[in-house]
Amino acid sequence: MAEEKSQASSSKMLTLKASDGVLFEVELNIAKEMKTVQAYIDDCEDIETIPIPNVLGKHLAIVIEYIKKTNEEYDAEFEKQWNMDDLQLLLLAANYLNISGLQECLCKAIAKRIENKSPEYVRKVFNIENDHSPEEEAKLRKEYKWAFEGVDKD
Amino acid sequence: MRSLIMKNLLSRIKTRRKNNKFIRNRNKNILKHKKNQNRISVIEEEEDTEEGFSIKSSAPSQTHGVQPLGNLYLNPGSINSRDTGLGNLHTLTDELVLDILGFLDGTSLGVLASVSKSFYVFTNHEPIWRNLVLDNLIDGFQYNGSWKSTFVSAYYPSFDISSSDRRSFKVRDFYSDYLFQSWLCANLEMKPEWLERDNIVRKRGISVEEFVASFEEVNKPVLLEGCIDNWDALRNWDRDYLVKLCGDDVKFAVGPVEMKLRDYYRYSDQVREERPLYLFDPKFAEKVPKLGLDYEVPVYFREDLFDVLGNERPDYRWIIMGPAGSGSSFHVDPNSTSAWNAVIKGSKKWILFPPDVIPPGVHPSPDGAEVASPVSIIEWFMNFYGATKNWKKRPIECICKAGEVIFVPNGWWHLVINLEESIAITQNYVSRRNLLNVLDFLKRPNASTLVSGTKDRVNLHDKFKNAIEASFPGAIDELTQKEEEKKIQQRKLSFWDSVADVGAFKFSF
Repeated sequence: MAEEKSQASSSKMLTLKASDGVLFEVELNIAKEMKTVQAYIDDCEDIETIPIPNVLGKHLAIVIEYIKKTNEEYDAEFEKQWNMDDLQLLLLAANYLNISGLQECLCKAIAKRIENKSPEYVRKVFNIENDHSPEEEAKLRKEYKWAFEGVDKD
Repeated sequence: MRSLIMKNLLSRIKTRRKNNKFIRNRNKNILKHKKNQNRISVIEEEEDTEEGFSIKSSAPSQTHGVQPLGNLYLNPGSINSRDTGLGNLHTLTDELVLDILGFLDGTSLGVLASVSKSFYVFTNHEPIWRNLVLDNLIDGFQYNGSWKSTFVSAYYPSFDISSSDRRSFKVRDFYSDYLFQSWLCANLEMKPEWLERDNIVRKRGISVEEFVASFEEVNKPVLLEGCIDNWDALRNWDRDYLVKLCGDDVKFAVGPVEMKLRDYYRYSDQVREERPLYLFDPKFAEKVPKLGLDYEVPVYFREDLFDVLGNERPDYRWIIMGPAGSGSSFHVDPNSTSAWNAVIKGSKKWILFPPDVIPPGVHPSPDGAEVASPVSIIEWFMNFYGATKNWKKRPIECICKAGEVIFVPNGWWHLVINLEESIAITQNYVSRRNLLNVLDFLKRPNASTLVSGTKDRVNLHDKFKNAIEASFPGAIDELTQKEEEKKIQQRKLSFWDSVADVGAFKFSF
């Protein structure tokens, strides 16, 4: 069941300005979910436009939508739409804006994508060059023998 | 003994809820903007300079060779294997990487160690494995040198843990403040100058009336000497006695798990971490009645009005056992009660601030339900203790040794750290002097989150009030009247006549 944040509590609107200049008008109680913005408001009461220099418009839009719609069902479907790059950028945005629910949701999402995968797969996903020497890697396989049973084929 | 020079430890923050549960072992990064100013550099020097500190002589050489970021800046042209080994993930902060890894199971973590040296270091971060153990092995665990080994030997008993030699795996050119600091705080020792100040009032052999008038009534802490000399616990309680007495069938609360005493000692002997777990059990006397018989409440604290609730009273007495370095960061005791804490073995350093003075580095939320403070107690000392030296609002400090009892008045902020392995008994109580306070506290609209130690939070106020009326009819009215008269006659000054901070957590009187 979608839960829209109640509009009754505050009709005051705030403008958020993303790093690429895109403007978003949001209700105060939505903006307050971003603790960084909340702190900004607490410090400067009469502000109308708040700069969000670390977040692109495209991601800020997603974040705002998340805050409006978040619930268990929404969260479960939310992460499926994004590729790894977007997930990371959204995570950095959620971290910067200090939205704990979204941050947790995204961390879980990224974790889910590397769970039970082989090292080779993970290296491919994140573009990592293996800096273990062959001897070291053999040593690690031995040390972690217990972990290597039951890993996905990929 | 090695010395290291540091500018300023980054202040990593943890947040705890009023009922003493930590939200998550993560860094909120409130002081993120300060990061650039607080680069840590490590230069190994012979002498202990003023900013230096000592590492435990038993500390392993830096785990895996992680260095603080300051060293990278001293090494122009050097690359950070942390970043190259994370690939696209390198833009994330250390804390975010650890947060992600924190959602994986042990097997996945084990596999990921092979991805790169960077992943090896991150997946070996002990707090991740500690969480896995504490979340899953709730019926107790056998500590095996490290949290990771503990987990592996519990879940893969047939795997021979000793065949792996983790210490030989060093990484080069890996720079990370967060991970370095984590290792550092796990291995720091208390500096002597943090232990020097002892300005608490000490009394020996005073009457109950004098205690009430000079300390309880006016909400002042005091250290009482000689009042538990007759405790059998002082004579008897050593490891052998306790292990024999408690046997293998009893389990005590240690953080989120319950474990046998024998297993707890196994952990506390081996552990080396920032915030060692301590044994903290509110049902110790119910579990092992003899423990309850080996001590008695000191004469000053025998008026305990929650008694009227009998078995329905909130948790009120705990046995506390912990290794050196274990303890509790700044908090105010629940339900607006007062407390006493008696050391049976070992010694504890105490720092106390009055109710209207928030300790430096501590940030309570406006409703008091959450308190954000530095991750480890040592970190608080490193970053904030110095500030208290020149402050007008100096804290009350002391070291409480075996046989001594400290009185912590209601509403006072306090921090405690065990200086050596210690055993103590502590009780919270309500006397007529703070009965009204407690009733007010329980009446609060958010009582259900703030009130602790009982399953029946919302009704506690009514139950308690009714029980008091039944046992001491008219008492509440009498006290209320006295309060009114007092208010009219005196203007109440805060302890140091200080101005409350915005958003200060104030107990109303």
